[in-house]
Amino acid sequence: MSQPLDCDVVIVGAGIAGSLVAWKLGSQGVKVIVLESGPGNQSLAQRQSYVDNFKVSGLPYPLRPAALKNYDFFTNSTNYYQEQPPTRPAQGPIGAQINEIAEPFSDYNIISTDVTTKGDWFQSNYERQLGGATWHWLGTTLRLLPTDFALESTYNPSVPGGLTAYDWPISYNQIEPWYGLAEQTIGVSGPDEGEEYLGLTRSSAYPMPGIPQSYLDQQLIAAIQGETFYDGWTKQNYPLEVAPTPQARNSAPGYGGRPQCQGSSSCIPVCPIQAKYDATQHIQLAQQTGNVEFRVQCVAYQVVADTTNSNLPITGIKYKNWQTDANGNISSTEGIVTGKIYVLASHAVENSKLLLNSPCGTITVANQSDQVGRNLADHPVSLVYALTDNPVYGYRGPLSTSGVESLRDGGFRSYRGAFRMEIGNDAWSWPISDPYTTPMNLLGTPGNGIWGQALAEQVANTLTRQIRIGCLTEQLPNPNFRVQLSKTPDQLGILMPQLTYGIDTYGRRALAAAVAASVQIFKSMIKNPVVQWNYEEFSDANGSIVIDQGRTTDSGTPNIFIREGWAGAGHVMGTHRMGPDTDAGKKMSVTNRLQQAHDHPNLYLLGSGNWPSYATGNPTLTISALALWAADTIKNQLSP
Amino acid sequence: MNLQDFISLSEFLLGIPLQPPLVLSPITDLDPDLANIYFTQLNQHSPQASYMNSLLTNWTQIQQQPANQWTNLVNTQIMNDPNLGLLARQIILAWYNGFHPWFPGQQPTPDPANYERALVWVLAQGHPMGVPLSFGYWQYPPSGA
Repeated sequence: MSQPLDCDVVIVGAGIAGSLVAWKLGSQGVKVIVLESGPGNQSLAQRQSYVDNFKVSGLPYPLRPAALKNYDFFTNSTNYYQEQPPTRPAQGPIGAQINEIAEPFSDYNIISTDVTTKGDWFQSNYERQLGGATWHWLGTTLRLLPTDFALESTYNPSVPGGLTAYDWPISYNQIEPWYGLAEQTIGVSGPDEGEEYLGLTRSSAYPMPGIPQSYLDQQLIAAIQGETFYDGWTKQNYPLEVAPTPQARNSAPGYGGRPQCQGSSSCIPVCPIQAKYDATQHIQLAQQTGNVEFRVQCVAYQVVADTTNSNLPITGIKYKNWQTDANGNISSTEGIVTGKIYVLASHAVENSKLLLNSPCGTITVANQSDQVGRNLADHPVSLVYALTDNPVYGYRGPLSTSGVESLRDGGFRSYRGAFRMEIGNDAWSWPISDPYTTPMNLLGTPGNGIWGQALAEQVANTLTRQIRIGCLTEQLPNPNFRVQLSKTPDQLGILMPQLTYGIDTYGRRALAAAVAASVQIFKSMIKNPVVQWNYEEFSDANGSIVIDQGRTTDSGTPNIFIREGWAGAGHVMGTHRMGPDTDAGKKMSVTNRLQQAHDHPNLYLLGSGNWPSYATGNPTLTISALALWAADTIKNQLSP
Repeated sequence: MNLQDFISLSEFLLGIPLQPPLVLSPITDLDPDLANIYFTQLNQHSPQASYMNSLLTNWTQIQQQPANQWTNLVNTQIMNDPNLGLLARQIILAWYNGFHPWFPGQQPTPDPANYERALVWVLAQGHPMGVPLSFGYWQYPPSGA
């Protein structure tokens, strides 16, 4: 007689996707077990310790003793905000010299050392604890645009290098009601107007009024009135319009039991009062249904498929339940959990790693297409920062309340990626770790620098006029950018993921255009702009400076700066992408339009690993919409 | 070594008093409790801690000169000195930044409350990031600005 199943649905990962599905199913009487690799710190008391840590060190987690290496923290803490190694790999044009560094930038991952170009270090990370990265996210909840779901058929991007775009197997109209449900479920504050850009339609209103735009936003808006952005590829002008940003933080008290935003200005890394949504909210709601069990400190390491059955059903997930003793030594016990349906929601890297570690006949689970782990992508972020003529008073309010959404689509997408411009209220904290760095720089060393009243005046003059724009750029999928299993096991003996990554020509052209647009905006806020161009970091694959860069030679003290290379947005995408249910579709994708694995009847993959193309919108709202859609599909599959 | 000397030196190095419009409310003196915290930490953790005595002695002697000479004397005897100059800059940064990640190899151990009293927030006319204020304040410039 066979063992009874442990539950109806097994979910790996208690981030936003896993938590929403757990809650939705649990509230409908479905029995759910969630495996979470990290600890379960969901109380407000833990929140306060994150806040205190942040004040002390700039990181929400206790400082690590210097002696331990990065990967020693794989299982029992998080390194989401890891300090950069002192010799951070510089980024730059193809063919430039790679700086020698002591250790690769690695948290849960090993960065492939097989890099042939600067800038190939994957800059984004993820989180291992109940609630996942939503503890730390900014909270931006943008919808993707209609053409984002149909990049290939609309624009047929064509660039040197031979990469191609892919359409999603769903349309904006199909996901639209789920977007509305997601906004209701997590609680989004959004503007009544200003969102008609680029074909966005809505069938429901935002649950809360929009978060007010900052004083800084208003100064920027006033300065660029009537301007357009010239695109060198299509030789056309596009609107340069600022829109208020919809975000998952309360403009009204009480929604979701959360307080109104009080402008703490630490959304990243932690909202001290939980005005910003985080997934612990739905973890608690899930637990309250009485049908959901969260097993923390349980690292799933293998998905078991029954290869004697030609349908290849999944029959269990093996995991290691770890503990640490008072001396920090790690031990673990083995477990396996069984259900009718299995859901991998551990985000794009870990989902891939788990699948690649799971044999299935001569291949691995869900990987007939050989696409698992491939097409790894991020939104490479350009960072341009400036000193405006008049104070804009950053360091206040939510970290971003506005953006330029009007350049996220257009005919240029046949030649280069689009970009979204995020206007920061956080002054120069992202580009140079201010406000701490400016006083340090001005103080200088014995024999130079300023102090006393002069220092105070210069610091005040600088800090109050700091502004930055970060642009999320769009790259094309590259099958050679991927997650694989390394040869290095973690402390539980599970092979760590190894990442190979880069930015293609389409993406580099997008970065160049994003820099040009950012510089243009700042030039409008400065009477005598002087741009400090770094080396030619945004050349295309042939080493030529790309058309949109608009580089000029300015003399004088720079007041507009471009941080070298690009930064990670924290948006990990592409590694188990969706595709059509056709023979051709199954060869290029891992999941179908319902996020079911093509190869297994009872396996779902959630999260932005499903993205076949990357668009320019922060992924979380789309992750949430698709998770709620999947919960519906799963419920129907359980009881048709 | 005298806390009072540390305070008076800190005030001079910081350019106290600081008046509007540079700051929203005048800063006329420094909190002795906070001064004590920074004084203790610098004596414990600064790589130049052994120069604190010499620094404060120097300052005491400078103060015996006419006040209009203090700036020059502090410049030449302290700020330009390879060791005293480093320590003086660390003092300034302690008040400015509230915690000190610039000590090579040192782990900062200040109270998170120090963070909120860092001078940079005052000079930015912002607020310590991580401290809630009120809904919607960010639409307006800082009061008085």
